[in-house]
Amino acid sequence: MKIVADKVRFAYGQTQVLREVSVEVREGEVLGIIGPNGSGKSTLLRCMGGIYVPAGGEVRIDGARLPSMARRARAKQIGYVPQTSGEEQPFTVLDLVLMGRRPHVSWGLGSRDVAIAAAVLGELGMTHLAGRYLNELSGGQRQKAHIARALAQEPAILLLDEPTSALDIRHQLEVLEFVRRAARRDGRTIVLVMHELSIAARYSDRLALLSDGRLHAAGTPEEVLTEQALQEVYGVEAQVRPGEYGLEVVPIRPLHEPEAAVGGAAR
Amino acid sequence: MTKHGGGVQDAAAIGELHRKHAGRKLLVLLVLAALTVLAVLGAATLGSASLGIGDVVHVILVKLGLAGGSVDALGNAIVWELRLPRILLALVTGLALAGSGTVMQGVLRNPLVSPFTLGLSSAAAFGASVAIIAGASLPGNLRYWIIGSAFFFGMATVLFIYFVASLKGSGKATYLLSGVAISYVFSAGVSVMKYVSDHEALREIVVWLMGGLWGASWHVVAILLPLVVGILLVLLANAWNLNVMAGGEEVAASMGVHVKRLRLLVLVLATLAASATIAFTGIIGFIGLMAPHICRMLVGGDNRYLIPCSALMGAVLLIVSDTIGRTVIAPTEIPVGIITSFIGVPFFMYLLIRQRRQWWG
Repeated sequence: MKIVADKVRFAYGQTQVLREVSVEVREGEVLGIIGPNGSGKSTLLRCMGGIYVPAGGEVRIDGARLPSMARRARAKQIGYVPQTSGEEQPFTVLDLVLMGRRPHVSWGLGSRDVAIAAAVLGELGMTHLAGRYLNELSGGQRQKAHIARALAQEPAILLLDEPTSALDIRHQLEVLEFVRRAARRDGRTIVLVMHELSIAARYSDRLALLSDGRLHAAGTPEEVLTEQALQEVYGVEAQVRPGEYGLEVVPIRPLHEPEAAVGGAAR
Repeated sequence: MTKHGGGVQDAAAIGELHRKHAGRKLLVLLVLAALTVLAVLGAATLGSASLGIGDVVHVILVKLGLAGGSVDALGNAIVWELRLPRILLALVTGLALAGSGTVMQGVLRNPLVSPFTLGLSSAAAFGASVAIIAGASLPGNLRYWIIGSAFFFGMATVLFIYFVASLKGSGKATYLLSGVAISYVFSAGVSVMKYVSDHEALREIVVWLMGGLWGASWHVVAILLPLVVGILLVLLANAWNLNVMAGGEEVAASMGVHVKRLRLLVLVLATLAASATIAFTGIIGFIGLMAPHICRMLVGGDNRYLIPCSALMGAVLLIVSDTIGRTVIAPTEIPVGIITSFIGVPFFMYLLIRQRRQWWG
């Protein structure tokens, strides 16, 4: 399933956060959204998930405009995992994953729902944790449990907001390998918000670089992640070189030109 | 690479785990339902005139037309006219306070929220005092003025807090601080009312504030029971929506929940149930905070089980408390609000300290 954000605008009160941002993600593709703090990455993701309604422009999945879709129908197509919040309520991992079945059930859970939850947990290597309470898990396990919840929704489109932020490198690789497999093998459409540029470059088919609410560049990692772009958008001097496993981005030092400082300022 | 489990075995294990958990929750629910029935019957046997449980059941069955035979005048007066309305008022008040506490905590994602902590109780108290003071000058039955006024101020408070939170963002602190602030304002208001009231009105205010079930009658039960049960059923129908709220508002929205509408619906209904009963009973604290917490420890966070469990838990706690209150130093009665605080607080502290898992970090 294809998802398109078409000239999406969004504001928190008077603060313009997105100014006519357009991105397009094809079926089976992984799009990485990158950009400095406050550039509008998470907001764009939420607009694409139908959680925020854009002030202008629109989001379409396979041609259908989001606001015109019933909430539940949309929830069957789009799964969303926010950044980890750190606080958990009294649910077991299995409870949480079964919650992902919410758009598909009205009251009771059937054996099919449980089978789907079991399959997702097996896939993420979390079967042994199913009966554990969320607050007894490590940050990385918890993050994976939330991703499992979204997968149990069986969405064609999966939106992940910094899915690896709480994870150690091993868990990062596990989750991202898994995400890539979900795109390649299962044909899911995946949008990731990422901070770590080398990792983003390696696991994304295409990148969208946001700067101050605008789309600075979109394309393959090689097209988007240039030393010039890093200077303009992040205000850092950096070295970008092709490595054995994708682009290697080595940040060197922050630039102190006034222009760069403004561009990189967090909101 | 991801560890791959044994596929089929895994699925069977997960299915088994799910059945086990669901079975345990259902068992807790059934035990609580049985306890509620026992509490009602048991409480009806206790009092100045001691009756056997058989006598009580006999009176109830005959009165409901489920058994033949006749009831003697004394049994009728004590069980049917005196004790049962009061026990049923305790039941419905417990259901309402605990049920509304549960869903308020769920929908605001805040473990410290209850009708008491949101300031609803003090607002209702203020409303009742105003009506009591104005008593003589009001037309019609003063009781209804007290109820109406308590209800009005309770509802206004919750809507006000909701409004503040929607302006300010629904952070944890927003609700509690607004609730605390409002409690202070209305407590001060109640003090003013006490100060300016004459002797008789003062006594009535003080008694109302202590929280008691003296006002019970079949008439009151007939008003409250359908209202509270109806509200609980609507809330229960929203159990899934409340469950996904646990993942955060954004997750709930992404899963198809209209978050603002859900929050308003749940708050209004919970307030309606709580303030309707508060209006008849005065302030009874801790049930709305305690019952949901105890039940969360027993059945976890799934609102499909949590809502009915804590409503029943609230009913049992309140019936037991009131029975203690009216029998322990009979013929003097201790207001049930005082009893709930005396048993509730130490029990709650014990659970908090003993509890291994800490919800909401």
